Amino acid sequence: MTLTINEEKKEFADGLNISELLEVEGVQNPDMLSVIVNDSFVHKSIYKETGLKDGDSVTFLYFMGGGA
Amino acid sequence: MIEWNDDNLERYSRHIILEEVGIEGQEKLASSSVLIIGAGGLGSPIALYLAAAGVGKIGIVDFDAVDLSNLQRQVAHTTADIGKPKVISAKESMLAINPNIEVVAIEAAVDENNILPLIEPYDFVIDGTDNFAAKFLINDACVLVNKPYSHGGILRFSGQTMTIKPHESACYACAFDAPPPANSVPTCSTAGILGAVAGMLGTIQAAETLKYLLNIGAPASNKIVTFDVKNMRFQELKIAKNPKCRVCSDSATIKLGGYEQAVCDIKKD
Repeated sequence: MTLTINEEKKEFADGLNISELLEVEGVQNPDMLSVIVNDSFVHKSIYKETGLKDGDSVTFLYFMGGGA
Repeated sequence: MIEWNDDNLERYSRHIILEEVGIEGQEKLASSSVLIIGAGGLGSPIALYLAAAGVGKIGIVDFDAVDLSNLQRQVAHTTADIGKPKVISAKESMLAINPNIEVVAIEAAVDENNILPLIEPYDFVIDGTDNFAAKFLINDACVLVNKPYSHGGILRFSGQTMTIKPHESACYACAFDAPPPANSVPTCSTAGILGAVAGMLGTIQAAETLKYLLNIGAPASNKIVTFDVKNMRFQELKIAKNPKCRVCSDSATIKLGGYEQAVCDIKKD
Protein backbone atom coordinates (compact mmCIF):
# COMPACT_ATOMS: atom_id res chain seq x y z
CA MET A 1 0.00 0.00 0.00
CA THR A 2 1.05 3.60 -0.53
CA LEU A 3 1.20 5.97 2.42
CA THR A 4 2.12 9.62 2.42
CA ILE A 5 4.53 10.28 5.28
CA ASN A 6 5.17 13.98 5.89
CA GLU A 7 4.24 14.84 2.30
CA GLU A 8 6.35 12.02 0.80
CA LYS A 9 4.73 8.98 -0.85
CA LYS A 10 6.19 5.64 0.18
CA GLU A 11 5.34 1.94 -0.30
CA PHE A 12 4.64 -0.31 2.68
CA ALA A 13 3.38 -3.84 3.33
CA ASP A 14 -0.42 -4.00 3.61
CA GLY A 15 -2.09 -3.97 7.00
CA LEU A 16 0.55 -2.09 8.99
CA ASN A 17 -0.53 -0.45 12.24
CA ILE A 18 1.03 2.75 13.60
CA SER A 19 3.38 0.95 15.99
CA GLU A 20 4.68 -1.16 13.12
CA LEU A 21 4.99 1.86 10.85
CA LEU A 22 7.10 3.68 13.45
CA GLU A 23 9.37 0.65 13.65
CA VAL A 24 9.68 0.31 9.86
CA GLU A 25 10.44 4.02 9.60
CA GLY A 26 13.20 3.69 12.17
CA VAL A 27 11.64 5.86 14.86
CA GLN A 28 13.62 4.79 17.90
CA ASN A 29 11.57 6.47 20.60
CA PRO A 30 7.83 7.01 19.90
CA ASP A 31 7.76 9.47 22.82
CA MET A 32 9.65 11.95 20.67
CA LEU A 33 6.80 12.57 18.29
CA SER A 34 3.11 12.88 17.79
CA VAL A 35 1.29 11.00 15.01
CA ILE A 36 -1.51 12.43 12.91
CA VAL A 37 -3.40 10.28 10.42
CA ASN A 38 -5.56 11.99 7.78
CA ASP A 39 -5.62 15.19 9.86
CA SER A 40 -6.69 13.38 13.06
CA PHE A 41 -4.45 13.19 16.11
CA VAL A 42 -3.91 9.59 17.24
CA HIS A 43 -3.22 8.97 20.92
CA LYS A 44 -0.20 6.74 21.48
CA SER A 45 -2.29 4.40 23.64
CA ILE A 46 -4.01 3.18 20.45
CA TYR A 47 -1.05 2.98 18.03
CA LYS A 48 -1.22 -0.83 17.99
CA GLU A 49 -4.94 -0.91 17.27
CA THR A 50 -4.81 1.77 14.60
CA GLY A 51 -4.40 0.07 11.22
CA LEU A 52 -3.36 2.01 8.15
CA LYS A 53 -4.79 1.66 4.68
CA ASP A 54 -3.71 2.49 1.17
CA GLY A 55 -3.78 6.23 0.54
CA ASP A 56 -3.57 7.29 4.19
CA SER A 57 -1.64 10.41 4.96
CA VAL A 58 0.50 10.17 8.07
CA THR A 59 2.27 13.06 9.76
CA PHE A 60 5.15 12.55 12.16
CA LEU A 61 5.35 15.65 14.30
CA TYR A 62 8.49 15.88 16.38
CA PHE A 63 8.45 17.61 19.77
CA MET A 64 10.74 20.63 19.82
CA GLY A 65 11.04 22.10 23.27
CA GLY A 66 13.94 24.51 22.81
CA GLY A 67 13.75 28.26 22.64
CA ALA A 68 16.49 29.73 24.76
CA MET B 1 -0.18 57.37 18.92
CA ILE B 2 2.61 58.21 16.55
CA GLU B 3 3.54 61.80 16.03
CA TRP B 4 3.99 61.98 12.27
CA ASN B 5 7.11 64.12 12.22
CA ASP B 6 9.85 63.72 9.60
CA ASP B 7 11.84 61.31 11.74
CA ASN B 8 8.98 58.89 12.20
CA LEU B 9 7.95 59.10 8.55
CA GLU B 10 11.51 58.20 7.67
CA ARG B 11 11.91 55.53 10.37
CA TYR B 12 8.85 53.62 9.20
CA SER B 13 9.07 54.55 5.51
CA ARG B 14 9.66 50.97 4.32
CA HIS B 15 6.55 49.86 6.17
CA ILE B 16 4.52 52.83 5.02
CA ILE B 17 5.19 52.13 1.33
CA LEU B 18 3.83 48.61 1.76
CA GLU B 19 0.24 48.67 0.53
CA GLU B 20 -0.73 46.28 3.36
CA VAL B 21 0.75 48.47 6.09
CA GLY B 22 0.73 52.17 5.22
CA ILE B 23 0.24 54.99 7.72
CA GLU B 24 -2.87 53.31 9.09
CA GLY B 25 -1.06 50.01 9.70
CA GLN B 26 1.87 51.73 11.34
CA GLU B 27 -0.54 53.49 13.68
CA LYS B 28 -2.18 50.16 14.39
CA LEU B 29 1.22 48.72 15.39
CA ALA B 30 1.87 51.72 17.64
CA SER B 31 -1.38 51.08 19.49
CA SER B 32 -0.77 47.31 19.76
CA SER B 33 0.72 45.33 22.61
CA VAL B 34 2.63 42.04 22.58
CA LEU B 35 3.98 39.86 25.39
CA ILE B 36 7.15 37.87 24.67
CA ILE B 37 7.74 35.00 27.10
CA GLY B 38 11.45 34.23 27.14
CA ALA B 39 14.30 36.63 26.34
CA GLY B 40 16.63 33.99 24.93
CA GLY B 41 17.29 32.48 21.51
CA LEU B 42 13.77 33.07 20.18
CA GLY B 43 12.86 36.01 22.39
CA SER B 44 15.91 38.03 21.31
CA PRO B 45 15.20 38.34 17.57
CA ILE B 46 11.46 38.61 18.27
CA ALA B 47 12.03 41.50 20.68
CA LEU B 48 14.42 43.33 18.36
CA TYR B 49 12.22 43.02 15.27
CA LEU B 50 8.99 43.97 17.05
CA ALA B 51 10.72 46.95 18.64
CA ALA B 52 12.13 47.99 15.27
CA ALA B 53 8.67 47.56 13.71
CA GLY B 54 7.20 50.04 16.18
CA VAL B 55 4.89 47.81 18.20
CA GLY B 56 3.74 50.33 20.82
CA LYS B 57 3.98 48.26 23.96
CA ILE B 58 6.11 45.14 24.34
CA GLY B 59 6.23 43.10 27.53
CA ILE B 60 9.13 40.70 27.95
CA VAL B 61 9.30 38.04 30.65
CA ASP B 62 12.33 36.01 31.77
CA PHE B 63 13.78 34.98 35.12
CA ASP B 64 17.36 34.45 34.00
CA ALA B 65 20.54 36.53 33.77
CA VAL B 66 22.78 36.80 30.71
CA ASP B 67 25.46 34.11 30.59
CA LEU B 68 28.46 33.88 28.25
CA SER B 69 27.03 30.69 26.70
CA ASN B 70 23.91 32.64 25.63
CA LEU B 71 25.76 35.00 23.32
CA GLN B 72 26.21 32.47 20.47
CA ARG B 73 22.53 33.07 19.58
CA GLN B 74 20.74 35.45 21.97
CA VAL B 75 21.36 38.56 19.91
CA ALA B 76 19.56 41.01 22.20
CA HIS B 77 22.42 40.65 24.70
CA THR B 78 26.07 41.68 24.42
CA THR B 79 29.27 40.66 26.16
CA ALA B 80 28.96 43.72 28.39
CA ASP B 81 25.53 42.43 29.57
CA ILE B 82 26.85 39.24 31.19
CA GLY B 83 25.32 38.91 34.64
CA LYS B 84 22.53 41.39 33.92
CA PRO B 85 18.89 40.24 34.03
CA LYS B 86 17.99 39.24 30.46
CA VAL B 87 14.84 41.36 30.45
CA ILE B 88 16.83 44.48 31.35
CA SER B 89 19.47 43.76 28.73
CA ALA B 90 16.76 43.07 26.12
CA LYS B 91 14.88 46.23 27.06
CA GLU B 92 18.03 48.32 26.60
CA SER B 93 18.68 46.79 23.16
CA MET B 94 15.07 47.30 22.09
CA LEU B 95 15.01 50.94 23.18
CA ALA B 96 18.40 51.55 21.55
CA ILE B 97 16.80 50.52 18.25
CA ASN B 98 13.53 52.33 18.82
CA PRO B 99 13.13 54.75 21.72
CA ASN B 100 9.53 55.52 20.71
CA ILE B 101 8.06 52.32 22.13
CA GLU B 102 7.24 51.21 25.66
CA VAL B 103 9.02 48.11 26.95
CA VAL B 104 7.81 46.39 30.10
CA ALA B 105 10.56 44.19 31.57
CA ILE B 106 9.21 41.49 33.88
CA GLU B 107 11.83 39.50 35.76
CA ALA B 108 9.92 36.34 36.57
CA ALA B 109 9.40 32.73 35.56
CA VAL B 110 5.89 32.08 34.24
CA ASP B 111 3.89 29.69 36.37
CA GLU B 112 0.26 28.78 36.93
CA ASN B 113 -0.14 31.60 39.46
CA ASN B 114 1.15 34.53 37.42
CA ILE B 115 0.46 33.60 33.81
CA LEU B 116 -3.10 34.92 33.52
CA PRO B 117 -2.40 38.42 34.87
CA LEU B 118 0.76 38.47 32.73
CA ILE B 119 -0.94 37.69 29.41
CA GLU B 120 -4.30 39.38 29.87
CA PRO B 121 -3.23 43.01 29.17
CA TYR B 122 -1.67 42.12 25.80
CA ASP B 123 -3.15 41.71 22.30
CA PHE B 124 -0.87 38.82 21.35
CA VAL B 125 1.48 36.45 23.18
CA ILE B 126 4.66 34.78 21.92
CA ASP B 127 6.13 31.59 23.33
CA GLY B 128 9.92 31.77 23.30
CA THR B 129 10.41 29.41 26.23
CA ASP B 130 12.75 26.46 26.37
CA ASN B 131 10.77 23.72 28.09
CA PHE B 132 7.57 21.76 27.60
CA ALA B 133 6.07 22.63 30.99
CA ALA B 134 6.09 26.32 30.03
CA LYS B 135 4.97 25.67 26.45
CA PHE B 136 1.91 23.68 27.55
CA LEU B 137 1.14 26.16 30.35
CA ILE B 138 1.18 29.04 27.84
CA ASN B 139 -1.11 27.09 25.52
CA ASP B 140 -3.54 26.26 28.33
CA ALA B 141 -3.64 29.84 29.60
CA CYS B 142 -4.07 31.35 26.14
CA VAL B 143 -6.91 28.93 25.34
CA LEU B 144 -8.49 29.69 28.73
CA VAL B 145 -8.64 33.46 28.16
CA ASN B 146 -8.91 33.27 24.38
CA LYS B 147 -5.59 34.97 23.70
CA PRO B 148 -4.01 34.48 20.27
CA TYR B 149 -0.39 33.38 20.42
CA SER B 150 2.57 32.03 18.52
CA HIS B 151 4.09 28.69 19.48
CA GLY B 152 7.77 28.22 18.71
CA GLY B 153 10.16 25.34 19.30
CA ILE B 154 13.72 24.73 18.16
CA LEU B 155 16.12 21.82 18.45
CA ARG B 156 19.62 21.42 16.98
CA PHE B 157 19.07 22.29 13.27
CA SER B 158 15.27 22.41 13.26
CA GLY B 159 12.44 24.69 14.18
CA GLN B 160 8.66 24.59 14.28
CA THR B 161 5.94 27.16 14.73
CA MET B 162 2.18 27.45 14.75
CA THR B 163 -0.04 30.49 15.24
CA ILE B 164 -2.95 29.71 17.50
CA LYS B 165 -6.28 31.46 17.61
CA PRO B 166 -7.94 29.64 20.50
CA HIS B 167 -11.24 27.91 19.71
CA GLU B 168 -10.89 28.91 16.03
CA SER B 169 -7.77 27.02 15.03
CA ALA B 170 -5.91 23.97 16.30
CA CYS B 171 -4.00 24.52 19.55
CA TYR B 172 -0.63 23.12 20.61
CA ALA B 173 -2.37 20.30 22.47
CA CYS B 174 -4.41 19.38 19.35
CA ALA B 175 -1.07 18.50 17.75
CA PHE B 176 0.91 17.17 20.71
CA ASP B 177 -1.67 16.40 23.42
CA ALA B 178 0.67 16.57 26.42
CA PRO B 179 4.35 17.00 27.23
CA PRO B 180 6.55 14.02 26.36
CA PRO B 181 7.74 11.92 29.30
CA ALA B 182 10.44 13.76 31.24
CA ASN B 183 13.84 13.61 29.52
CA SER B 184 12.60 11.56 26.52
CA VAL B 185 13.12 14.55 24.24
CA PRO B 186 16.26 16.64 24.52
CA THR B 187 15.31 20.25 25.16
CA CYS B 188 18.17 21.49 27.27
CA SER B 189 21.67 22.76 26.81
CA THR B 190 23.02 19.27 26.09
CA ALA B 191 21.17 18.96 22.75
CA GLY B 192 22.69 22.05 21.16
CA ILE B 193 21.24 24.55 18.73
CA LEU B 194 22.73 26.19 15.67
CA GLY B 195 22.51 29.84 16.66
CA ALA B 196 21.09 31.05 13.36
CA VAL B 197 18.19 28.56 13.64
CA ALA B 198 16.92 30.50 16.66
CA GLY B 199 17.08 33.65 14.54
CA MET B 200 15.17 32.01 11.68
CA LEU B 201 12.33 30.78 13.84
CA GLY B 202 12.22 33.93 15.95
CA THR B 203 11.87 36.15 12.91
CA ILE B 204 9.14 33.87 11.52
CA GLN B 205 7.29 34.32 14.84
CA ALA B 206 7.85 38.09 14.71
CA ALA B 207 6.45 38.19 11.15
CA GLU B 208 3.43 36.14 12.23
CA THR B 209 2.84 38.59 15.08
CA LEU B 210 2.99 41.62 12.77
CA LYS B 211 0.64 39.88 10.30
CA TYR B 212 -1.82 39.19 13.10
CA LEU B 213 -1.71 42.77 14.42
CA LEU B 214 -2.13 44.17 10.91
CA ASN B 215 -4.59 41.52 9.74
CA ILE B 216 -2.46 40.67 6.72
CA GLY B 217 -2.60 37.43 4.73
CA ALA B 218 -3.11 34.00 6.23
CA PRO B 219 -1.57 32.94 9.55
CA ALA B 220 0.38 29.72 10.14
CA SER B 221 -2.73 28.30 11.76
CA ASN B 222 -4.07 24.77 11.49
CA LYS B 223 -0.61 23.75 10.42
CA ILE B 224 2.84 23.41 11.86
CA VAL B 225 5.49 25.06 9.77
CA THR B 226 8.71 23.19 10.33
CA PHE B 227 12.16 23.40 8.83
CA ASP B 228 15.36 21.43 8.86
CA VAL B 229 18.33 23.64 8.12
CA LYS B 230 20.70 20.71 7.50
CA ASN B 231 18.87 19.89 4.28
CA MET B 232 17.26 23.35 4.04
CA ARG B 233 13.84 21.77 3.82
CA PHE B 234 10.67 23.58 4.85
CA GLN B 235 7.39 21.76 5.38
CA GLU B 236 3.83 22.66 6.27
CA LEU B 237 2.18 19.88 8.23
CA LYS B 238 -1.57 20.23 8.37
CA ILE B 239 -3.12 20.05 11.86
CA ALA B 240 -6.87 20.05 12.33
CA LYS B 241 -8.56 21.17 15.52
CA ASN B 242 -8.96 17.97 17.51
CA PRO B 243 -12.63 17.57 18.54
CA LYS B 244 -11.40 15.55 21.53
CA CYS B 245 -8.56 17.93 22.44
CA ARG B 246 -7.66 17.78 26.12
CA VAL B 247 -7.38 21.59 26.19
CA CYS B 248 -9.49 23.34 23.55
CA SER B 249 -12.43 21.00 22.83
CA ASP B 250 -15.89 21.97 24.04
CA SER B 251 -15.82 19.28 26.72
CA ALA B 252 -12.35 20.19 28.05
CA THR B 253 -11.81 21.76 31.46
CA ILE B 254 -8.53 23.56 31.91
CA LYS B 255 -6.72 23.52 35.21
CA LEU B 256 -3.51 25.50 34.98
CA GLY B 257 -0.26 23.92 36.09
CA GLY B 258 0.71 20.39 36.96
CA TYR B 259 3.19 19.92 34.14
CA GLU B 260 6.42 18.43 35.32
CA GLN B 261 9.56 20.11 34.12
CA ALA B 262 12.39 17.80 33.11
CA VAL B 263 15.21 17.96 35.63
CA CYS B 264 17.82 18.99 33.08
CA ASP B 265 15.71 22.01 32.04
CA ILE B 266 15.57 23.52 35.48
CA LYS B 267 19.30 24.04 35.66
CA LYS B 268 20.53 27.35 34.36
CA ASP B 269 22.06 26.97 30.89
